[in-house]
Amino acid sequence: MKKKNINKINSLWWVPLLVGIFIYVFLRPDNLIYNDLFSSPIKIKINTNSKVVGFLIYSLPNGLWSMSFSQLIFHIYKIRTLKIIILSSIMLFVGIIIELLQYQSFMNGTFDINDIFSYIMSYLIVLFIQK
Amino acid sequence: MKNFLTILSILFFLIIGLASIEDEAPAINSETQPVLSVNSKTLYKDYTNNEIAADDKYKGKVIQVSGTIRDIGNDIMDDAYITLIGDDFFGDIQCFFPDKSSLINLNKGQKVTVVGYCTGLFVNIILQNCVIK
Repeated sequence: MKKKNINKINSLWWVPLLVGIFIYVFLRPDNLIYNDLFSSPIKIKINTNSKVVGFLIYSLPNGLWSMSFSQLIFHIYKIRTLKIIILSSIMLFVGIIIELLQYQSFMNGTFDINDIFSYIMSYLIVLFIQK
Repeated sequence: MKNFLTILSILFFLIIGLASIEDEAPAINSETQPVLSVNSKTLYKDYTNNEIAADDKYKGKVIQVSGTIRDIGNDIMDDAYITLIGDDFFGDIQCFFPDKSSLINLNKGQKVTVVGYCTGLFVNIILQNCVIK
């Protein structure tokens, strides 16, 4: 991909973040920490029995959050050195560590292998875009 | 400048990430339907009789508990609570309320019905995110 296009895609780092926020605010039940401060009066009711829908609502936002951060780091530095690649993966590791802490019951929330899959896939997509 | 932006980005995303973690107790309002109803003495008796069986029955569920208020106050984290009499000595059901204003008109000895999320036995039997029915 041309560098100009890569920079253009990275400059849209806020898009995955906004999509994730939309899912959290309008599709997720109000049992998250931020709901102590804010709760949307509008909720879109979706049947989450399907695995795909469950993944889109409960796991995808995690990947979008990590993806958005990685894009932002590449957008700030506009280079692809090892240091920047490591820096861009911080939220990937933060997310995986949180999942592992949840698995060990050291932290509130539910461990879900799909969340880890979502983190890794979204980071790989960002790396692929930088090629 | 880039380092500053990086630190700012990390902080921004950490805040968003941590704020999006599940709160252990689900939000409860006056329309929330409890899974089961029980009076405070029965709930306490169930826990003293067999904690494992009681956890299986109540823990992790939104339940409705009726009982008499023994105490009203704030804990060390300034979280408002009432305790419902569980036995004749010190055994209580401790109900925490996110909205302090709902406790203003309550008195010790008053009978109330509370809906809350049971997190099990920890000195007292704990109910989180409670509302007065």
